[in-house]
Amino acid sequence: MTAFEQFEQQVHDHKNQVYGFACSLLRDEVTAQDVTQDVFITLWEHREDVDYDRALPWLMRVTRNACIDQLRRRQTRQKTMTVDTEGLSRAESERPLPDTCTEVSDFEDHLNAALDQIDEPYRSVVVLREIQELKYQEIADALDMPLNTVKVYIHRGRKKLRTQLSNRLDYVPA
Amino acid sequence: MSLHNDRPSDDWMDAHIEAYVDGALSPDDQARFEAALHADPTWQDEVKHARSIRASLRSQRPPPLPADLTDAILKRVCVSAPSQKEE
Repeated sequence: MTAFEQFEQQVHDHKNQVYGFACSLLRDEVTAQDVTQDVFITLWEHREDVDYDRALPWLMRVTRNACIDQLRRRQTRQKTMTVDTEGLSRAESERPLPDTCTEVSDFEDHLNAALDQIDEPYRSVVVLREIQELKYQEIADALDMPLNTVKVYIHRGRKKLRTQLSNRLDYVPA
Repeated sequence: MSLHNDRPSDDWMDAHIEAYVDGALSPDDQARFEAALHADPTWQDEVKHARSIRASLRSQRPPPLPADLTDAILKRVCVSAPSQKEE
C-alpha cells in the first residue's frame, strides 16, 4: 500500500469521527468542515510520525487543539464586537445562551447547551466518551493523559454536565 | 460487611452514581448503592436524570462529513505533493 493509499484509508476510516468531534465542540458545521480538512492535511504532513494503527487518538488530539484555537478566535471576535455593548458578549458557543434564547425547548437542546458550558478538558472527555464512544485508553492517548486521570475526568465531567443541566432545567430532585 | 448495612453518605452516592449508571460497580458497591437508592427518592431522580443524559448523548449522531469534503481533502494532498501519491 502506498503512503497515499494509507492516507486515503485513514480519511475514510476516521473522517466522520473527526468531523463529529469538531461539530460537537464547535457547534458550527462549516467551521468543523474546515477543521476536518486541516486536520487531515496535517496528518498527511506528519504521516512519517504517526503510527498507522494509532491514528485515531492522534487525529482527535489535533482536532481538539484546532477547535480550541477556533473557539478562542471566536471569543476574541465576540469580545471585539461587543466592546460597546456591555453584557451582550457570549461565551464559547455561537448558539444562544438560555437567557437570550426564547425557544430552547427540548431536552437535547438543553443538554447541548449545558455541554457547551462545561470547561475543558471535561467537555472533550465527555464528548469523546459519550458521543464518539472512544475507549478510555484512546481518550488517554488523544488527550495525553494517564488512564486514571481520564477515568476521574469522565466522572467529573458527567457530574458537571448533570449539575449544569439540572440548573438549566430548574431540575429539583424530589 | 456491617459497613454495607450503614446508609452510605451523599458524598459516597455522588461518587458512585456514574459508575452505577455505567453498570461498573462491584457487586458489593452495587448492592449498597441500590439499597440506598430504594430508600431515597432524591437519588432515584438523580439516577433517572443521569440515565437520560447518557441516553441522549449516545443517541447523538453528528452528520457525516459531506462527500465533496472527502474529495477536497484528497485533492489538496495530491496538489500539495503530487509525487508522494506514487510512494
